[in-house]
Amino acid sequence: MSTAQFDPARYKAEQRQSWNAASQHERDRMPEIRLTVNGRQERLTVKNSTLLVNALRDQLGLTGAREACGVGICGACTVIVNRRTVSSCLSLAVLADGAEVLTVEGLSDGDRLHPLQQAFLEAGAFQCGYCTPGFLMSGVALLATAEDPSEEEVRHFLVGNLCRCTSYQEILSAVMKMKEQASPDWLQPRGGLSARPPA
Amino acid sequence: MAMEAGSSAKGSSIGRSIPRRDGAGKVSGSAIYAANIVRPRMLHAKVLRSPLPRARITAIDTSRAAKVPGVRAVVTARDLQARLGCEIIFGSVLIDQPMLAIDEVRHVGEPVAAVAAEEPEAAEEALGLIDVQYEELPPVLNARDALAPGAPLVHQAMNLSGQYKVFFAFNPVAGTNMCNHHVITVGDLQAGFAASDLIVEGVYTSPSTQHCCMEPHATVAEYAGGRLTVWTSSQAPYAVQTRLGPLFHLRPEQVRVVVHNVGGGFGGKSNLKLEPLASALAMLLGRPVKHVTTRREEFYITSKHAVEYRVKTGVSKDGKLLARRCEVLYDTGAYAETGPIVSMKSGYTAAGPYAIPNVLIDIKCIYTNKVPAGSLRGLGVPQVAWGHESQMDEIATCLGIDPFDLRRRNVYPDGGLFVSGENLRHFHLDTLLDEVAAASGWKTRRRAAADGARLARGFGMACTMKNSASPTRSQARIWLSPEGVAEVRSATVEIGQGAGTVLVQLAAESLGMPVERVRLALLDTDVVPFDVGTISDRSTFHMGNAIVAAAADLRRQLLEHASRLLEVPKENLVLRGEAVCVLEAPERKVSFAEIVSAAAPEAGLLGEGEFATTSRLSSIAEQCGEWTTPFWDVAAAVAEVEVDRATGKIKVLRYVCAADAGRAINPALCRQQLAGEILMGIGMTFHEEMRYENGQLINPSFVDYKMPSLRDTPLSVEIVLAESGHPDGPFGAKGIGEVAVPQVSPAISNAVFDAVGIRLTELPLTPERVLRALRAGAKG
Amino acid sequence: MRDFELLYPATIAEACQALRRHGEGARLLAGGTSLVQFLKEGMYVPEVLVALQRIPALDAVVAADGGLRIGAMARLTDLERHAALRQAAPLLRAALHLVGNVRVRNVATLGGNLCHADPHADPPTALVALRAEVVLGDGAQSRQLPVAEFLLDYYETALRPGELLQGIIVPRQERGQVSVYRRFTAVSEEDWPCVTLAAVGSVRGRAPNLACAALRLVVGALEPRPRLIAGIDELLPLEAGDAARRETLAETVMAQLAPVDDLLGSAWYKRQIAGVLAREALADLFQQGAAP
Repeated sequence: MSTAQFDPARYKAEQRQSWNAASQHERDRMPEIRLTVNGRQERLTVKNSTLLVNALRDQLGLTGAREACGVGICGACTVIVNRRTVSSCLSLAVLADGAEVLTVEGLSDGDRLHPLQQAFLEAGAFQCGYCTPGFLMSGVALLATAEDPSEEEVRHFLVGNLCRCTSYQEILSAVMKMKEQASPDWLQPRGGLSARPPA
Repeated sequence: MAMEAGSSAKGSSIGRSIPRRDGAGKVSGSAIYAANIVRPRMLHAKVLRSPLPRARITAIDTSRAAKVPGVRAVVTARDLQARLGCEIIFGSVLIDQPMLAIDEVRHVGEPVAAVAAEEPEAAEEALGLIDVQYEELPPVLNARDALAPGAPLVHQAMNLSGQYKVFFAFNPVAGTNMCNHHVITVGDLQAGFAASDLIVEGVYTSPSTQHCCMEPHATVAEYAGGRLTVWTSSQAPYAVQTRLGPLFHLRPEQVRVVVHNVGGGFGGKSNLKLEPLASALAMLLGRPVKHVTTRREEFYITSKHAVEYRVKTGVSKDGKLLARRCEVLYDTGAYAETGPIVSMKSGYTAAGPYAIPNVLIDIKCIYTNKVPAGSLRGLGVPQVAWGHESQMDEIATCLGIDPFDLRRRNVYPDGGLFVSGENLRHFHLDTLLDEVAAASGWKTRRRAAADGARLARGFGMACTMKNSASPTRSQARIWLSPEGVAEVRSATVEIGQGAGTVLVQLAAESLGMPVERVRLALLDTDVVPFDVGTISDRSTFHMGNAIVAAAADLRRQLLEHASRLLEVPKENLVLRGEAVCVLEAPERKVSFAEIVSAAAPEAGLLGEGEFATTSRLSSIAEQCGEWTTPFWDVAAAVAEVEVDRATGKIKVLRYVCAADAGRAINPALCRQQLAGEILMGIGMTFHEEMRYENGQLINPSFVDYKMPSLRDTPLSVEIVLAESGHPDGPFGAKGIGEVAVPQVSPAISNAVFDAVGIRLTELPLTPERVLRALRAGAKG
Repeated sequence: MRDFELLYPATIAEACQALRRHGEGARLLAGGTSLVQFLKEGMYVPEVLVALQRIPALDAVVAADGGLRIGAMARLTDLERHAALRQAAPLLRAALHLVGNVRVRNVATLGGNLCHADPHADPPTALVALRAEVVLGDGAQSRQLPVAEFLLDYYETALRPGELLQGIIVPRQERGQVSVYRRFTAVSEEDWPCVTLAAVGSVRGRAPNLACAALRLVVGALEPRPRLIAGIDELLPLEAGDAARRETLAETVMAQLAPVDDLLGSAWYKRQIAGVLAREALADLFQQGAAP
């Protein structure tokens, strides 16, 4: 398993190579953006056309957000930017300059899962897991901001997250179950995954 | 399979809904999928796809594309043949599918050329600069046209793969577009019709649909040191290993397949897909290559067979089915994939789960110039069940018999003689019919609204059978560490169904260990032994049995070693609580950890087991293949719907499904599977259709192809989980991963008929179709 | 997608200058949800994107003269939650709530939505019913146009080269106005609508003697642009108990439409649904009138 894990040091080396190979013209067009991701300050060099989902995955090793449909319908790429859910596959990374970004990796605190993650585990609210981070981000955003949403309102909010494996039942009940526990500070990152090596 | 001491009811792992083992990674986002894999100096591949359904390629100029900075190769099939000397054409049953088109394209979206570049954007840029000249040819766009005399041939020749010559009697018909043709006959059809009081005919069609796995296909291939390694999103790593190697003249042991998590399979990842091309590029360039498809590309890779099902049934006036003739056309698209298997397997059940004395089933699997169709959950049974279960209600209506009674009167009993000539062993569909009728309140059902009211309610029923795959082979190993922790080594893929959890439960139970002390090894063909594939809902049964056998082997070794250590004969020893104890003096014992530390201090102990189905029945029809069915997927369902006469919209108020798990190793996982299957069936019923116009797919995106969302679920779904105890399954278990899909469409359509008297014969049941039928006053 | 230059003008004038300079090679970037999709599909390959995020106050929402002045860059979620909208234009709020999914609404802007001019979009139908107008300008001059005249066809608007949409004006609505928004999806609930309907009007009297005294009815999504149904005034006042005249209204609606066949439904079907929605909308308005 270790040979296939994301290695930020190697990625940075490859980026440097790529940067050096790029022409001056291209380099002028590779802006550096500064953003806070899961509570950490990050400086990323991106192209104007780089999608946020790819910046997060490729440069920060945050692979919870996934491009599964490319058109903002399925929600597998959901992340929270400035306290709101967005489809990171339709977001330009440059526009996240100065933003606060929360991804699924920022929900847990080391090995301690976020209450909604725990609720998903207990309810068995996942099967293949590919859509799960997206649902968690949408669930966190909903519960952190909505006042006692009805089931209908929860469905309306989550209609933009698709799951092919489950019947949605467990996902819905996990979210409904956490209504009381939720608070606005759910939008604050916790420690993040402990395995992340320092930059 | 008798279980020795080691499992007691208290602390037993069987029948416990333990939490899934793969949960932490999946909720934290750290779970690894193939697209996560990063290898040193890895390149990114993109594919140029045909814009035409059928054409000759007259020229390909890749020179401009090759000049894009960062591009390392732009290849066509000819380039690969010349520079790599590899085979281009692969396939599962028929060897017919080129990894890149050779001189001819056969469907829109077919790969024509490939680019490998340092960055995906460079590869994308290069695609736009590849010049392909096509000479358009007239395509065949549906199965009927493809059958017409003089229709253009999608393939000039049809080559069956070696293994399928041995196991099955597939029958491609040279000079036609039929890549499989079978006729099954039982009894005397004409006599049966002659004796019937009523004859009912109908045609039922289902369109192509998509698997819509949330994870698109993804493969990383790397060739180094004479070995090809692929990290891939696949349900069948050994199928990849055994079929990938020969393309590059590699022996199986030179190919290593690693599978982490797979984001959904449903049959769409059970054969070679991206692996051949990624491997070819990796070998050509001496660098690892990653190929990940977009959702749009997914629409061009594989799909479900569009089916036309024609049925003519003769029945006596008291409701005994006397004769049934089915003609089933499966549109397998431009490449056969598993089409011959899909058509054969579901074709056998095309007459429905009914003991009909005179049957003729004519199965045709047909090439067309459309996206290839392969295995999709249910393997053709949803499409034939759409027909036979819809018609059962038509018959019931004509005869004035309750649809439940009609089914109950005709359903195969346990042990009944199936059309293949085998007896249906452990087949309890009659019981399931009773259970679903009871659970749904069928006998006392009332439709709520009077005629003319805007909303009308109705009830419908369906029941189906499906055979699990055979022959198959599964092997498993269980390694016991010096700390006494067990590791299961199995090639069963965790595609979301929870196999990783259930197999651990089986191993734990078989060893008398708590599940926490059992883990699952990463799926790496260098470590895990052979398995045919995570398909046909076979893993709990087949791999489960292999695991039980491996555990038995391990227990034998543990007893041997303990006998020596305790100096007590084996007959006086028993396994209990992760230790081996003396029967008469249980305080004298030695723990597993102690045994391993003494007997194999660093190496640990390894138990091995295998389960293969080998028994064969000869069939009564000449062209049937020799095969037997390890277990049957049976289920029955009732749907209660509300039809809006003003808009044609159908709401599913209540859906009740009775399915037999044999034994529910993990009941929660069984129920979740079944619920997911039902929703997939809902998608096939209302939403899903790959729409073609002149061979072009016009809805290849989630904007225009809709799968069910959180707001499209039935108001209530109830699952009756029967456990009849299959004598051949591990602890009585059998598969339930596909069983609940096929009843959904016909149960709902029958309910619509009950509610508003219209008989729909085409899927999906769009509101527009319903409204048109209502206005036309159509009746069955 | 091919890379592009990204400009961040500080004023509308600068933005329009950039548009004029680059012509067909430039696109405006608002929320980006529609634009980025088109870029990914290769449908636009711009050299330059002109981002509007840094133009101050372009997203401002101001209550004015009993109505609203909505900056083009106001995001749909912000609009939906804006207190002034609740008061001045509940119909718009109802339509906004249903646009796409929440992630779209969090990022998409009203101006972007209008300029993209997808016929299936929800806000235009409501805006036409509210008699809304768009403010178009280039920093030096500006002009106003009814939304109905701004939207021309699929992805086509009345914007001139070098001009951008600055804002949307929702005029003050009639006192005691009732309104209803309906959206019909044929297949999944998560889908573009195949028919939308927005109705504003007034209902007088007391149950059971209610009558609709004013009615403005717009049907959208099924034609290239929203259609304000004509000839309704002749049917007014429309009494709740007058079943025949209510049916005439539905038929009037259906007769005027020239729906387009597409993946969401045939012309025939859409027309039927428009009739259904018209009947439902009318019933809803009466219900609102009965419970002041």
